[in-house]
Amino acid sequence: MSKKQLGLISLFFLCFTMGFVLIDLPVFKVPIGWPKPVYDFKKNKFSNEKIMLGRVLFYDPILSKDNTISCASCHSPYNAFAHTDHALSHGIGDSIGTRNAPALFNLAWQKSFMWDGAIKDLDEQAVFPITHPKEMGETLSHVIQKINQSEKYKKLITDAYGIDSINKQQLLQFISQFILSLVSANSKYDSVMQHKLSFTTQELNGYKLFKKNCSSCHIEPLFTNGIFKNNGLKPSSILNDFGRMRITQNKKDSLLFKVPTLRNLSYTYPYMHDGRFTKLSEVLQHYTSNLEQNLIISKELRQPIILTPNEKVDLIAFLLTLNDRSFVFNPNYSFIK
Amino acid sequence: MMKRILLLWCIVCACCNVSISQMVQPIRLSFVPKINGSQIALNQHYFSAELNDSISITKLKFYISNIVLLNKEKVVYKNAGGVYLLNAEDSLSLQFDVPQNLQFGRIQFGLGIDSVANISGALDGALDPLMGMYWTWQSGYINFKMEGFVGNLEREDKKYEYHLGGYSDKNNAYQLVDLNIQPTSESLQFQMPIDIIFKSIFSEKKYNIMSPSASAVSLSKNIAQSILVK
Repeated sequence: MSKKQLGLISLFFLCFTMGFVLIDLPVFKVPIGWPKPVYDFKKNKFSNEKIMLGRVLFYDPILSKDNTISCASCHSPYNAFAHTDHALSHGIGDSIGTRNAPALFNLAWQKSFMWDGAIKDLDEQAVFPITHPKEMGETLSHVIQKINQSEKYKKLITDAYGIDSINKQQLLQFISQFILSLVSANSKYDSVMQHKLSFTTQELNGYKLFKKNCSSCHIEPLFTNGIFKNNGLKPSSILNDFGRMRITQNKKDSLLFKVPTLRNLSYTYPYMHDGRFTKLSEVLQHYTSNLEQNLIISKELRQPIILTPNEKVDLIAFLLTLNDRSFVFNPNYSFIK
Repeated sequence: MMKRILLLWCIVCACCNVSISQMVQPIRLSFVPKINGSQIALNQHYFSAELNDSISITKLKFYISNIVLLNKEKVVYKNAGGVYLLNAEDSLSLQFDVPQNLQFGRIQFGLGIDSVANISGALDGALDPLMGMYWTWQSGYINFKMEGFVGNLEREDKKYEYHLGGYSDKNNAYQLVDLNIQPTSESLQFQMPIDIIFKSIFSEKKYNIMSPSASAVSLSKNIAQSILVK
């Protein structure tokens, strides 16, 4: 056997082995044509063990004070990680919060979290629901104590890291990892964009109407620009929620709420930060006829949106192409029995 | 010869099909929610003596399952696996087929879904989480959901939310209703006095029951026991 042949064989084995190593390492996959994620994966490297630990924690009511509420209580996998038919979030002791639990997916591309952008870093986000008195009402220290005393977690943590306890930062990073793994990019719209399927005439007309009337804020392919806008909703005198202003203390930010994604709308009703609309037709009615015109309404809505009844039906037909059933029923995201 | 046999076979099959389709009859069950003895509609205001205030109902949805028809003590029909979600927004009635000339004078049905259905993993039809009745892997489904407002103004702090459910052990809120009915009725109407919910709001001073609990079980029992044949 010549040296050249030997070299080729060695190269083949090297590539073969590397191939296995690469397949074994979980990599955050960016769907074709999507922008670069915002989340910095260097500080919290993806690993199967961390995702699994995050997944177990996500479904575990151990995170709440009375061990009754898990993240999944308000972010159910079968509801695209939102809470279908529930306007305001629920918490321990049958308490009700002041905002609609948002759907959790494609968060690697989000610059800030919560309807008012109160949280800048996904690794800090879980602190809010865990410690909020009307959500889980717990302290991080006590959660850590409970987890480190649990035989189940001891085994999971030891298997993954060879250590027998975790700290707060690790807890939050595990939860982040699972949430980051929730990517919804397999709707009919996505297949059409990849030239695998075609829109019906109605959906295509709806898509044109969407581009004309909605796409300045709901930018493709994420269908949000992640920016805070006043979309002309009359504020509730009871909830007294002024949105972004609570964070910035700037009057200019009064009644600004984050633009939500339009993906998976069938699974995530009711709509808006306070869940006031149950049907998409009500949402379109709001944008075409019921805007609370005031000085601070966002500039995109200052010109009236005019849609005929047929156009509304077409627009809804397009919006429904953003449903991703394979995401909602993905067994990799559900509770581990 | 073969052709003739085939033709004869086809005729026999066709006759059987006709006779089978003639052998069933539909049975319709309707539920009539009432306050102070009067039928209610969604989003209207009614006076509640219990609360001494006006109340409205914005949402009323519940499951009916495991329907069984009996002739005295003998089970004559089982609607196996049938789970119906009734929604006041559409219709509080359901329909199913039974063999024609079936003799029955008693009905049993579940208010809610039983523990088997809760954990069956069937996530379609009436049990599709899209219906807004699925809670979580741990709590199962909501059996009975009623929401509305106390007072004339629709204030968020005066909103009541009764989500009754739970399927495990002492928190099993599933209820079996057992009623004598007019023999072989094709259309059955049930009265459902929902004032009971307002009695609960008044006595428990609770606007919300939204998780499996003793209160959810006891209220579910009261609702089931108050259902009457019209």
